[in-house]
Amino acid sequence: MDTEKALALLRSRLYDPNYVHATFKSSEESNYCKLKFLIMNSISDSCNNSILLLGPRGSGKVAVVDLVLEDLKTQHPDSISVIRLNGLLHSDDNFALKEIARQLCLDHQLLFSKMASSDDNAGFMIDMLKECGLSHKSIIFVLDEFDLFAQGKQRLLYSLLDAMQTVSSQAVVIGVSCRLDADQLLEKRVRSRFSHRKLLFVPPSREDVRRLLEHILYLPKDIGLLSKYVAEFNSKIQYNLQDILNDKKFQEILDSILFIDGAINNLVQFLFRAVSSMSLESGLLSLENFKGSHLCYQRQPKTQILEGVSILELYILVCMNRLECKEQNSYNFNSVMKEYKAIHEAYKTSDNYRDSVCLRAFEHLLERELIGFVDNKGRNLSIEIQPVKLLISPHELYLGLKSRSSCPAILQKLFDHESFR
Amino acid sequence: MVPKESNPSRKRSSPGGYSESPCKAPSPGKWRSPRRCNGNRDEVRSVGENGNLSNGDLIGSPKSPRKELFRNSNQQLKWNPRGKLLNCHPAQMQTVKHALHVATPPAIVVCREKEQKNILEFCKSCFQQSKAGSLYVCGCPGTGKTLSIGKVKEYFLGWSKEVGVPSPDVLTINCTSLTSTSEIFSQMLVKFELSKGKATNTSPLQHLQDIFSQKKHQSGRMLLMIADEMDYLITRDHAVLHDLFMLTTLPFSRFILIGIANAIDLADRFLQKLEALNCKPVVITFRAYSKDQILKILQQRIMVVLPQIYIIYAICITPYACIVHTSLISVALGYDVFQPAALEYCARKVAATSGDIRKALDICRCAIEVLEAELKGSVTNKETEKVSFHHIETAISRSFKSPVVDIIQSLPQHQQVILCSFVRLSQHCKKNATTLAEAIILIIVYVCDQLNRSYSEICKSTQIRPVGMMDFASLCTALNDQGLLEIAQSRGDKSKKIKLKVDSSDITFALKVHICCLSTSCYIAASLAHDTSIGTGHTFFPELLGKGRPKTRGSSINSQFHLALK
Repeated sequence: MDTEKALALLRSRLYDPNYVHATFKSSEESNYCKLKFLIMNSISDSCNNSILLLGPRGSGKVAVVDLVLEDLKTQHPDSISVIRLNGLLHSDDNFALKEIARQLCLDHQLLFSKMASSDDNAGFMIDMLKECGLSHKSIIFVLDEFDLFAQGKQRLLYSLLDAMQTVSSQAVVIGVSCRLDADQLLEKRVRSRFSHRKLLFVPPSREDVRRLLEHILYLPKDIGLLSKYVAEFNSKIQYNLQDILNDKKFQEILDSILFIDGAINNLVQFLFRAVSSMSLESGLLSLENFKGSHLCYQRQPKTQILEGVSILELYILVCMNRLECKEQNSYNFNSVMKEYKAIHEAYKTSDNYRDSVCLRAFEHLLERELIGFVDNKGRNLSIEIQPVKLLISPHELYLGLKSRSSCPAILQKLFDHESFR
Repeated sequence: MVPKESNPSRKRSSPGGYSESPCKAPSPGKWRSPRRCNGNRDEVRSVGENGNLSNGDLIGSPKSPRKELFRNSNQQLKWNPRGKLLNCHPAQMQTVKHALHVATPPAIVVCREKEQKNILEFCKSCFQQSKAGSLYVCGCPGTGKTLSIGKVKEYFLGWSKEVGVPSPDVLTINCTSLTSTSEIFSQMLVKFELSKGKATNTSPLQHLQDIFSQKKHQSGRMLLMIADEMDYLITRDHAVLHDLFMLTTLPFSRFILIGIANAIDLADRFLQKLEALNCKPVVITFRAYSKDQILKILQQRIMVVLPQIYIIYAICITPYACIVHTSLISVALGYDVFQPAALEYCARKVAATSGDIRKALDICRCAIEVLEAELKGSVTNKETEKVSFHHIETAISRSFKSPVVDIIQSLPQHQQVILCSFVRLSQHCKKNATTLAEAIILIIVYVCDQLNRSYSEICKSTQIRPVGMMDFASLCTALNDQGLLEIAQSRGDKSKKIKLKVDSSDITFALKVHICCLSTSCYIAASLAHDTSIGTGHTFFPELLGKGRPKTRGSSINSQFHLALK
């Protein structure tokens, strides 16, 4: 019972971006603090500001913005009004103005008319900015996928930023983008009006990753579970987790995940898989959970396909690989057959089949997309003459051969013969 | 869709507009009533309104009551950045930040007197001769065009009141707010109330042309139109812009048009026919600000803060304390907020890059925020903390520095290797190019396949296990999202064309300096260093070239790496 509750708690934590990113709330240099400082200043000084948040996908930009806005709403419930736009949906100016008007109406309990023209909407937005400026309410515009707003004539950006050039309005524009050069995409007029504040979201360092893991995986004492269990869990985790976290293997696994994509999102998905595979009897995490999760990441679909491929097809693939290694730029079925025959003469194997059988195997490989035609021009030619190419890399082929227990040793030998690792 | 009428009660005094007097305190004893200062400000304002555009001695003039107050007290009000919020008034730092905000309109527009005079003279002459005319104002963004023209408009209206002629109808329109370009004419009709007698089937433009071509429709008033961001009116056939300016050439038009845009040659490119008619618009260029002008503007902004601070301190202190505390803020407070060297550095830097005053104001505000953050953290209670050179430098580096190097250094390892392989490929290509011309013209576009091969090579040499093709493709997509690479649309997975969008020297620099605890990054950096230094004959990693035996790993690698950095 308790273990299930604990599992549920851990899973809900992992999928709550607010919780995950709240790890870094307390540190002074975190982006959360900087963003909060900026917005609080703008609200208390009643001035306009704009800022750009840049970082790779999954690094928690929108999550941090949400955290900051939530905190500010609890502290100053009446002084903030939030408008959210997304570059994928609202990059057209008319739609964007309509959406702004609709959200403003929603916030201020006004009636929204769908028939209003975009002129009316624009005028409404400017009027509302003035009104809110007079009553000391800040309007915060969150523009997601900011680089998509910078396409075309940038009218929306211009009108927003221009409205902020008057002292009667009080607005903060937060642009969120994953393109680093998002501000270079702006027109010079718009760029001049945009203050050049940028917050970079970089992948977390090792210490930060460690803090994140501890923050997520330690169970709090007061969640209504048996305190003994919690103590045991935490202490085991204290040892266990420290053990796990200090274990070299775990570090390697973590490194191989982070070297491909260091964003927090990626790490959270990895942890989710590991936590979900936590064994319910012992109720504790172990290194095996993490290893299993890592294997899911290393899934090589093409290698898995190779497990279902017949031996003759494997022969064909190895022959094609040899041809490629011999720097033959284009080859077709006939040249593959020549190579195949050459191997059989050299090694006297028992797998010598007729051409028609080989052709069937060849067609199977084409269907499975392990090999493919080089271009579509030769539709009229027969299959034997069209040039083909391999669609899997030598490394994947090697792994596939290794994983097949019934693979003839000759193929492995042929492979090892080439200085490939 | 009508917003409900809210009570626009301001909860605090507005330092921005000088329209309301914030102080109503009674004047005790020897202390000069703050209303006198208000009077001084009125003086300042009226100096502007009378069309006297001289910078004037707004603060130091001998008749100013403030000068007498200067004599009275010995104490200077110190710049106290940590000053807490007095009961309901913002602290000094907030006031200064507010004064430096881009949105705060300055009381007087400095450094644009000549241009303003020219425009005003033009308007006056058109007015006096009852002729139409067109003017085109151009300049880079942030050079004060809209602000100056707003002031000229005010002066002009004031002047027309003085002279006693009926003041002109003024329409200020920002062309970005038009949904279609020809809407400008219908807006003109509405504003200038010329739609009387309009037949339903004539377009607004035709109606305007009719009105301006016939004498009987004249109402005797001049029409002044200010069209901001005029390049939004440019269409493919240049018709709207052209027609607009042609309206000023019609025989009975009394229409003054002032157009504002960024392009210097707008008039030449789009209004060639006007030249033939000899009615080309007068072009006034607002040049980018020079360093001295920027410095002057910044100083003026800060100094104008002074009356506010003075008044604020004046109101809420007891009468006795007033005598002691209501000292004057010395005129040099402007310098006390910022160190003079810092302000000059900021002005110089901005003038060298763009001459955009918005940027300079932003940098100053940013520097104050840096100071604020510093003071918040530090424990020492130094009374006078000015904004120093160091703060301005931090602010400038934040604004001007491109985040490319930081982002490259923080990329995950495999993505860094991909960028390295790109650089390496391009270097090999440059080496193979036979002539220098070829090397320059070479467009660095690679097919995904080539990149993959180069990537595997580097992985092999630096002992990192390469990822499979699928992962490689997703890594390239991630780099594409970030704007470091550009992947062209193509059908096959392997044959997509990839272009590098970051300078290869940026990549080399970022990775050379990036010494992390992993030795693999050292390998990457060293292998790049090896490649780039091929011409100089250094061989740090002879095994990469296939010569020599591999050296022992560990300390020798690190020492070689340090050698590479020197």
